[in-house]
Amino acid sequence: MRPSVARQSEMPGPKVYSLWWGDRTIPKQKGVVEYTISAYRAKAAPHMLRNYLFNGYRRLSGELVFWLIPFGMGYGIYTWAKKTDAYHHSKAAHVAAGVEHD
Amino acid sequence: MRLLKTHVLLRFLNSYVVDSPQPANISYLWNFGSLLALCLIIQILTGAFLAMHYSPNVDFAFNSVEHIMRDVNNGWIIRYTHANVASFFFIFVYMHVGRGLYYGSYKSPRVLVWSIGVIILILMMAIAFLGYVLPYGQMSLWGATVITNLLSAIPIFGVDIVELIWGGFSVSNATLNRFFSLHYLLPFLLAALALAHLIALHVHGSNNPNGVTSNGDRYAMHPYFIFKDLVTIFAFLLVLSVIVFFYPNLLGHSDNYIPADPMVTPASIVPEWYLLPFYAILRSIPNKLLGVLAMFGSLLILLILPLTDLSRIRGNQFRPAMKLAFWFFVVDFIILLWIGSQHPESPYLEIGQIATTFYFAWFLVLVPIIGIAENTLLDVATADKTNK
Ligand code: HEM
Repeated sequence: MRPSVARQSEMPGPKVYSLWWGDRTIPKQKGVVEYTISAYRAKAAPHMLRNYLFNGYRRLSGELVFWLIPFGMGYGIYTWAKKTDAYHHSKAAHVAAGVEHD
Repeated sequence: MRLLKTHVLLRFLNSYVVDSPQPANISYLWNFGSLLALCLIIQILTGAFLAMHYSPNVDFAFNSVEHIMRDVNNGWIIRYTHANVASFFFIFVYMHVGRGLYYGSYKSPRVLVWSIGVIILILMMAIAFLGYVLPYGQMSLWGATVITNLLSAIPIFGVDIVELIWGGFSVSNATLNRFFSLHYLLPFLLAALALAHLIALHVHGSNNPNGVTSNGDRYAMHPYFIFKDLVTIFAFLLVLSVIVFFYPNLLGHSDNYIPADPMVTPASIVPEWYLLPFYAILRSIPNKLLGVLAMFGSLLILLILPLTDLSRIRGNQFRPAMKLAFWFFVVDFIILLWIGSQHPESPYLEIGQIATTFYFAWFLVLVPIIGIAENTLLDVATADKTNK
C-alpha cells in the first residue's frame, strides 16, 4: 500500500473526520491537525501524582470562589430549614401557636 | 488496506472508536459518555438474566424477586447490580448534562446531540420508574399509583387515559404485566437513541473546555482516549463493587421490602432519589395540572438553551458571571432533590417553591441576561473610540 492511498481513501484520519451513513465519499475537513506518538513511547499515565494530585488541586482551587458562595448559601438554607422545622415540631412552638398539650 | 478501515461495517467501528480524532484538551468531564454506555450495557445484560427468574404477576412478583435473592445462584449479585447501576446511571447522566451546561455543548453545531440527549433523559426516567414497580413492594405499588394518577389532571379525558394505562380501575395485575413488557422493551429504544446521539455528535466532533475549535490539536481515540475512558470505567467498577457487596440497600427505601398491599398506604410515598428534584417541582405547585406541566416542563426546558444562551462565547471557561450562575443552578438542583424527600410543610414547602422559581428563571432570565450583558460589555470595550 502506498502511503498516499490512505490520504485519498475514506480512511478517517487528519483530513477525513467522520463517516456518515450511506456516504460513498466524505467531505474533507479543513485544518484538522492530529498528533500521535509511537505506541512504544507512549506512557500510560505520565507524572500521575503530579498531574492528578497537585495540578488537579491547582486547577480546582482556582474555581473555589465560584463554589463557596453558592454552596455556602445552600448550606445556610439547609441548616436554617432544619432548625425552623425542629422548632415547628417542638412543644414551645405548639404552645406559642396556642395548641393545647395534655 | 487493513480490514478495519475498508470493511463495510468494521470501518464504522474504526471511525468511531479507533481513528476518530478527539480534541487533545478534553478533561475527565468528557468521560461520562462512555460510562453511560457501559451502564446501559450492564443494565440490559443483568436485566435479561433477572427476567429469566422474574414473574410479572401481582401474586408472584415480590416472591419471585426474593427467590432471585435467596435461591438463584448469584441472583443477589445480579439484582443488586441492576438496582445500583440504575442509580449510577443517573449520577453519570446528571454529570454528563452538567458538563454540557457548563461548556455550552448544547450550542450550535451540537443542538441535535443535545436534543436527542434530552429525549434520552426523559426516556431514562420513564424506564427507571417502570422498573421500580416490578418488585411490587409497597413503594412500587404506591409510587405507581401516585405517578399514574398525575395524568388524571389532563382535562376531559384524563381519567380515561389513566384507566387505559392501568388496564383496570387501579394499579393491578394488568398494570404490572404491561410495565414489565415496556421495561424490557424501552431500553432497546434507549440504545438506538444513544447511537443516534453518537452519529449526531460525530458530524462535528466533541466540544472542548475552551469552547473554540480544536481542529488544530487532536489525538486519535485509540489508544489515548480509550485508555482514559478505561481509567474511569475501572474506578466506577471499583466503587460499584463496594456498594453492591457492602451497602447494596444504601440508596433504596426499606418500605419496598414490604409486599405491596392496596389496603395500607405507607407513611410517606417518595420516589427513588434521582427523581426527587422533579418530584419537588411537581409538589411545589398547588394546582395538579400545572404541577404536572411544570414537572415535564422542567425537563423539556433544557431544549430551549440553544435559543436563550445569547452569549457569543461558548462555555463558561472565560465567563466568571456564568460560572457563578452555573453553580447556583447546581445548588438549586441539590436543594430541590432534598426538598423532594421532605414532607410538604413549612418551611420546606416555601423553599421548594422558591427553588422551583429559580430553576425556571435560570433558563429563561439569568442565562440570556448574562449573555446580553457580556456581549454589551465586549462591544463597549472594543468600540473604536478614536473617531469620536
Ligand atoms: C444513555 C444516555 C447517554 C449516553 C450513552 C450518552 C453518550 C455520549 C457519548 C459517548 C458522548 C461523547 C463522549 C462525551 O462527551 O462524554 C456524548 C456526548 C454528548 N452528550 Fe451524551 N449520552 C447520554 C445522555 C445524554 C443526555 C441526557 C444529554 C443532554 C441532555 C447528552 C448530551 C450530550 C452532549 C451535548 C454531548 C457533546 C458534548 C461535548 O462534546 O461537549 N447526553 N454522549
